Amino acid sequence: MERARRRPLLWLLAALALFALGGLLARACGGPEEVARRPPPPLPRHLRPAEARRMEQRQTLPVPALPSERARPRDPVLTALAAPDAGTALVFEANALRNSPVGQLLLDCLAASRPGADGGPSALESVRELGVDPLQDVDRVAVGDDGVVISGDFGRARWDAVFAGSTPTPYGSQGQLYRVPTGDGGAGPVVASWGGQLLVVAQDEASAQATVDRVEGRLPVGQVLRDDQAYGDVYGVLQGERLNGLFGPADGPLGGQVREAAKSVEVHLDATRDVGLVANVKGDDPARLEDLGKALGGALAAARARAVASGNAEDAELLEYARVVPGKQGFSLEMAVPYEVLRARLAHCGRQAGADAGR
Amino acid sequence: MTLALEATGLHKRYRRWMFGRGGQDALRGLDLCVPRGSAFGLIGPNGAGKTTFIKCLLGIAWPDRGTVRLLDSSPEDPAVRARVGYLPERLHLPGAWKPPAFLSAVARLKGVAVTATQLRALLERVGLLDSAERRIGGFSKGMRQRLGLAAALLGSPELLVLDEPTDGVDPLGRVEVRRLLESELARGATLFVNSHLLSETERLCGRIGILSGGRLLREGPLDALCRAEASWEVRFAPGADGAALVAAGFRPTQEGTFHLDAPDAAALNAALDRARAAGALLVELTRASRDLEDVLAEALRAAA
Amino acid sequence: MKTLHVAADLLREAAARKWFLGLGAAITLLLLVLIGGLRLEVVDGALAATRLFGNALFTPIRAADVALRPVFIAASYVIFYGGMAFGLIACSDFAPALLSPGRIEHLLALPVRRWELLAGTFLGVVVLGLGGATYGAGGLLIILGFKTGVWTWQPLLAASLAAVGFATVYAGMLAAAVFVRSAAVSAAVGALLLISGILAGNRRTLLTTMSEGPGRWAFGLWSRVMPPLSTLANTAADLAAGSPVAGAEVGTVVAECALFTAGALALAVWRFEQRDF
Repeated sequence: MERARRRPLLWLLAALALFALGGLLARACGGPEEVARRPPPPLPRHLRPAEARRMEQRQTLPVPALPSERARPRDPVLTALAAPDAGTALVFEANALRNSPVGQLLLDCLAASRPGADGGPSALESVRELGVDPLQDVDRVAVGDDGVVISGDFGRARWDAVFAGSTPTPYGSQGQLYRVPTGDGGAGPVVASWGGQLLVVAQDEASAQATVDRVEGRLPVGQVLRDDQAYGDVYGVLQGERLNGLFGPADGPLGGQVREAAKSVEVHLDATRDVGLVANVKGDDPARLEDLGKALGGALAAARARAVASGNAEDAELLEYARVVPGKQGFSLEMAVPYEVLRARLAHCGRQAGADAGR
Repeated sequence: MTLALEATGLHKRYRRWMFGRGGQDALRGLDLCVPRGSAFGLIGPNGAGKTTFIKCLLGIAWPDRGTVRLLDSSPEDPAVRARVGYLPERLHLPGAWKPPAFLSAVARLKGVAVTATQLRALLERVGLLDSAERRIGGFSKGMRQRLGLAAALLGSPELLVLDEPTDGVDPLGRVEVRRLLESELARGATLFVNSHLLSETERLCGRIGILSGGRLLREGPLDALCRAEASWEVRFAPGADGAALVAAGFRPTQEGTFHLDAPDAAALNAALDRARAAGALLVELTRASRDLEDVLAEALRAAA
Repeated sequence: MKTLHVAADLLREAAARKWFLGLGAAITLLLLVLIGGLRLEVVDGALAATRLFGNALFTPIRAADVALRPVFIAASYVIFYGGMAFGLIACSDFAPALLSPGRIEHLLALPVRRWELLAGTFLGVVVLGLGGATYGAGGLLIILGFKTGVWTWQPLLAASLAAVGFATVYAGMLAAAVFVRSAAVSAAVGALLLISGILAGNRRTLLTTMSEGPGRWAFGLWSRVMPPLSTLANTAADLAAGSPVAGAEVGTVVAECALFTAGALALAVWRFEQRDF
């Protein structure tokens, strides 16, 4: 019967050995990694507190004299864009984009591919000599129906030198108009500077004057882009002809569906680190919108399936972030690109540019 | 003589803690041999160590000292346990199962191939054929006991170890069980029975062991143990003078006989002479015997 | 071979218990609800619309397999942790019942080795857990496969990892029951192991919050011995979603759990072999 006592001891030794082995394995392999899953790229879906503060800080225009508008301060850029019949406005937060990690990547890429092998000054340096540093002084660039509006710190800008050959005409209390001639002597765009903080590039003088009038409160203002829509690093509204103009016959039946169903598209892009895009599509026909949403979703799924089938894992992963979210008044198209993917894709930029310059 | 089981110098102490020293001694140097083909009954008071001994026999408990041999092998050997049928004192049965399923499960664990027909035959032997399709949860205690006995009989074991085999069984059922066990004995199996029903033990077992305080007080053939060496049963012809016989040392019994205690032949004959002198005529003289209860009581008194 | 018989008997007994009948019925009911009430519209491989009993659920329109990932991930965690919590309670009395007076004596008198009884009990419970997890995961992927055309066996792999995790916890419960024959103690040990496993999986993060000293050393030692159950759960979820998981990573986590399981079972056998009944 003593054998029965000895044998169990082996089991105890085996147990201790197994526990020790498990501990050694954990130590040798560094232990379990807490799975730090990459969070999904953030998407700009609503006005965030920092953006709300930014919006309030920009409402520097005094209360307009026109009694038809509510008495509140206004953002000069949004006011400049908001013609009563305006349908399109797209704002690029140039300063935010420039200082974002993605912006730095793009700038590094640009710098690497910058010509100047002959040792002469680059175009950027030439503009800086005129009192305007595009990489430092520009805050926002906005595109509207009537033209382009650029905001920033232009107090040191020598517009006379920039628009040499054009006679400046004062307009309003703080505006200066410059008629930029074309190479053949014909009438080119009209540029209006305002208050050292705005630069308006319009198709004609009337548009430039109307923009200055809106900013100074002499003309009524529409509402193409509300203050609470000013979130993201790129934001805006596309509708009407400008929207339809984006899709042509080459886009196939899907393009046709967009033209038929979509009345307006509100776009927001965030590039804080990852790049996220949200496009809110609205229209008058819910059924057509629903079909359009499904068609878009199907197209994205098909594209992903093709990428998977062809072994293109990167594109397949990117398309995983693309989706269509149905809503009550339309749908949202969401897409995203993680920062790491962009960095990997732009890593060749500098090397390729250097190789091209070397030839 | 081959032995079915053999225990030598068995000691067992139940400790309060796993590695503690104190505790209660259940077996204190037990020596016991049971020949093959015999029916052995182990009796004793509560806490004597009977169940502990059975557990040590079958490897359910480990003795601290001593050796146990079961059918010429160690109880640790699964192969020898396959030749043993065991009915524990409190058998737990799965309530949701039916008897054939339970017996099949036991047969599989025993390594015994058994057909449905054989199972039905076995259930009939123990008187449960009519309840074969009932769930065990609805069985009475006696029915559970019968089913446990059926499980012990699976595979026609060479040794049957039965702890209180008729516990909860009705009187007629006890008769059936006894006949069943007698048939097993006739088959050549060895019976080892632990029972508080001394009358049943007397009827079934040819050898008896009395256990108390972990020690074997008495052990041997039943008739030898129950025989009263110094007692006699005497019958006189009708008309004998009862008072004179009492004076001569005879004690009347209820059956119309007289009981005489005589330590030797001289005392016996002297008493008979006194009876004849009183005019009594001797008709029958037999050595008196005791029942197992008396034997047990006497053994316990002697041990105390 | 006897081990398999013991396991089969345990499964037969479990089939008669209300806990497991209830679990089977609940899983079946849930699957039937999905079959009858869930409508999925797939357009060009994209999950375009989801309706539950006619009510539209505003879910994003995206590639069907991508859309199903969160479903498989959620199901994986439910099967892992929910199944483990259920198993803690429902399986806690298998071992104490095995060791109950009248039953254990009967079993030990049979030609079955002691370790075979424990191994059979453990195997039966693990098969029970694996069966439940596979039934739930398998039913889900079959239903979603027919409704969306997306067929993947990854959720079954995740279910098997859930079974590995439950086996690890149950080994500890079994060992506890051999020392103290109590379903409550067994369940409590299982719960402690589950919590320990979650902490062990987050060992690095927790160690950074501790200052140097005997406490940190003791936690480091203990958490290395404990099975990294939370890591196993996360790995199972990644597998269910079809995310790329390194084979070595899976192998390491499973190996750590397997070593703990084997150690707990060896400890149980040690105690069981020398115990009197």
